[in-house]
Amino acid sequence: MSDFSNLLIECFRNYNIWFLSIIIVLQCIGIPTGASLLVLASGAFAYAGEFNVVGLLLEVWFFAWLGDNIAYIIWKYIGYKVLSRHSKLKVYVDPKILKAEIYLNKYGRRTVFFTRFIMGAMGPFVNAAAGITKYKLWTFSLFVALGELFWTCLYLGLGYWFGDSWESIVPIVTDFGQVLTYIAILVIVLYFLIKAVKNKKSKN
Amino acid sequence: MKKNIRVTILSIFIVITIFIIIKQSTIIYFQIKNINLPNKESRQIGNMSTHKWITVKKIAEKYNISEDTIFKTLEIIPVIGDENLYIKDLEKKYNKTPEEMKNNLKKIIESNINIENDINIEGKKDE
Repeated sequence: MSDFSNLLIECFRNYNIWFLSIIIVLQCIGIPTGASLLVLASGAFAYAGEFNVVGLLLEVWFFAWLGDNIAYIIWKYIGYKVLSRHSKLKVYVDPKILKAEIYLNKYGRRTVFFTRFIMGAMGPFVNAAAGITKYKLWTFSLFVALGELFWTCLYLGLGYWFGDSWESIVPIVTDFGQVLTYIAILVIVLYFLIKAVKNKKSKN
Repeated sequence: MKKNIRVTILSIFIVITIFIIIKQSTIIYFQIKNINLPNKESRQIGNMSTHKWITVKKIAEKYNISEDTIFKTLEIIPVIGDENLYIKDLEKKYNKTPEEMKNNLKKIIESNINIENDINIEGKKDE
């Protein structure tokens, strides 16, 4: 366990659920805070009898949902205004926003759902895209709630299951998250490669 | 020419990413292979991942034992305020090894389990 992880758990032990909720909300907004690790630890503390596991699940689920919705609202009302102020940036970003809008209208539900727990690293980007493109709030909110329920059950459940040995699962969870992020990067790069090859062929 | 360079760079990037993914996946595979699945004992007191973050005061409340008994089992002569220190901090303060603390805590937890079992057996007898 790193010093940062120890500091996180020390703060969590001192401020309990309030600290956890702030960390979760910040992570959903896009600031990496180590919320997954803390949720895992909180599951283990629930097994040790420090928290009621059902109450904890509902709280973590609610704050994860709240964080995603705050991120959506920030990007919807502030993000676009900030981008619009810089004309050069606007010219560059506008076509991309249009593309994101088309994509979200087609695959928005499954994208929002799966980026909550399988492709968790992509979550903040999807929140931003949904906010900027003014994706339907109710649909976004509903699929965020469903996805975050899986995320909460997964991490809290793992912590609860491993109990006092929860630290032994941390490297696997961290490495697994990294692999998923690399896979996401690979998919994006592959997309650009295919696009570049197609462009080259059409010009030839 | 520019397009060729772009395709080459992207191809190299893809190869590197695939290499990293394979490497990380192998590490995860061996980690999963070597992990001990939790059992009742390891969940209650495994590698002290939760217990090191619990104070003597909380342990006393949880297992309904006096703080003095816990300190006695931990082989610590306490000063005022020690009951509010985490086990990991007590470990440092009194130069105890994690193994010593774990074994002593195990005694407390096991004695509590034995008491609970005795109560259950007596309860069944009464029925």
